[in-house]
Amino acid sequence: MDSSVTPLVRVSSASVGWGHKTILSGVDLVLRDGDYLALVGPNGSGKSTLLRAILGLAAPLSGRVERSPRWRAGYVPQREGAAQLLGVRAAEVVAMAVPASWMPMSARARRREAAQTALSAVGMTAFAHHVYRDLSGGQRQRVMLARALASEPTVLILDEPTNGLDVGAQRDLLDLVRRLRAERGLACLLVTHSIRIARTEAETVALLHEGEMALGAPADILSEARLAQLYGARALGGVA
Amino acid sequence: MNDALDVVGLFRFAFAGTLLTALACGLLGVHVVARRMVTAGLALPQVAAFGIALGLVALSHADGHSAHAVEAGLPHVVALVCEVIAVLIIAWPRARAAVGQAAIAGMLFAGAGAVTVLVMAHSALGMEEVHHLVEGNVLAVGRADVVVLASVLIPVIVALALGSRRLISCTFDPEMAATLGVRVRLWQTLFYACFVVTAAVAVHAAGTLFVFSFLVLPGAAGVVLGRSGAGAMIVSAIVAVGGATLGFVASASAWDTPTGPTCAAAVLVLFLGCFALAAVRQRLTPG
Repeated sequence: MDSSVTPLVRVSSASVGWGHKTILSGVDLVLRDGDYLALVGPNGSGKSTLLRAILGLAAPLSGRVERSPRWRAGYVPQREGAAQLLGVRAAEVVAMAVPASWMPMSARARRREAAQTALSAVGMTAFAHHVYRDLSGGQRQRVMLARALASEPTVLILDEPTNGLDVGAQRDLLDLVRRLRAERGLACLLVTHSIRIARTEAETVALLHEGEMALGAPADILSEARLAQLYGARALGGVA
Repeated sequence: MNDALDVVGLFRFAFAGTLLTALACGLLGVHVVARRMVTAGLALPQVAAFGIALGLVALSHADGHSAHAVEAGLPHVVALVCEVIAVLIIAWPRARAAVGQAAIAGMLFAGAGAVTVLVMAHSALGMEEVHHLVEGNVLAVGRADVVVLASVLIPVIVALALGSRRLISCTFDPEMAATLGVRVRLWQTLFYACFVVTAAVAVHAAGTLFVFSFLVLPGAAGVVLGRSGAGAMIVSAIVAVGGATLGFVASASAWDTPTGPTCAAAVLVLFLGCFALAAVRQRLTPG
């Protein structure tokens, strides 16, 4: 089957929201192998809700989300759950993404090897035995990225990956994602409220605003005129 | 040493029941602490105590003998039903959004505690039974009680041990686990089922103070000292079994004190030791 014909995921006429409340409607988008799509919008515009539907964590209120058999998501979440309390080494966090097996000894060796490989890919080999909660924000994001890679994904999904990082750490992380994507031919789905990051990183942008979505090339969708119309000239500084 | 062995030999069923209860609570406790559900860990044993009290009163009205009530198993069933309702209330999204999980658990704790006292105060069983529910009466655990405890707690311990990798993955980051194909809802249900049945049978044998202490302190020791998911579980299990053994032997031989509170005090001392050890390790770790 020609992978360029069959998308990794296709969202058709979907509405997403919480409970019975619709946040976003009429969503149509397609993600193919090697694509780089950014979901952009202000807080509360439905970025994370749409992402949950794409990931299969929540069903759309209407419409369809179809994932191809080749869909394997390497997910870098925005929040960290109980991670701050449980003292787990970085290598173990990464190994959680390696599929389980009922042959404990071989599975353990395979998990360890896969975790080391993924940590090496993000430049974190030296931190494999450090406790995850003791790492800096940028290091933790790299471990999360390694965990996503350990699941051998076809698509990398990054939910606000630069939140809470200083400018240097943001740049390093985005450079790393760019390199990994080029090396492995991964599709990438980036959720961000930063117009600047979407503009510089993505090939296609889905701009979410007041329950609707506009899809296209960054230059068209994130043009100054359009943003000024949507956000107002004053607000533009806040989202860029 | 011989005294300790004599005590264990004399009260072997009570000792076995104490160890089983401590180990099950300790393994559950890692998840309770890491998921920041300590208030639920406080509320559920109290709700179980309320259910047991309700079951005892119902059967004492029927035949006048609480011993028959215990044998009939009704208190455990009522405790289980009350706990399932409590878990559903704690997990109810609308209530969580309104006041938060900790506040709901706090209300359940206060409500169940108050109603337990009121129910028992007006029953033929009286306040002595309330005293037992809180403080426990582990030394009175006999062969039949151990059979009940073992039939419930051994499957819980086996499930928590065999499923530890998946459960830790769900505890660490349930959303991520779901994207990796882990059946998070199934594992969360298993965790809550283990929690509910453990509290139901353990409170009747050991009292709410023992159960709450062993749900929190060994798990907290595992979280501060463990450097992996399995490490946290092993530390928690060792602290739970160690605390129960020390407390049991001390209460039944040297100190002649109530067993439940003595075990709770022993496990607190072990937790403080683990906390100190973790602090020393932190200081000695370079960088």
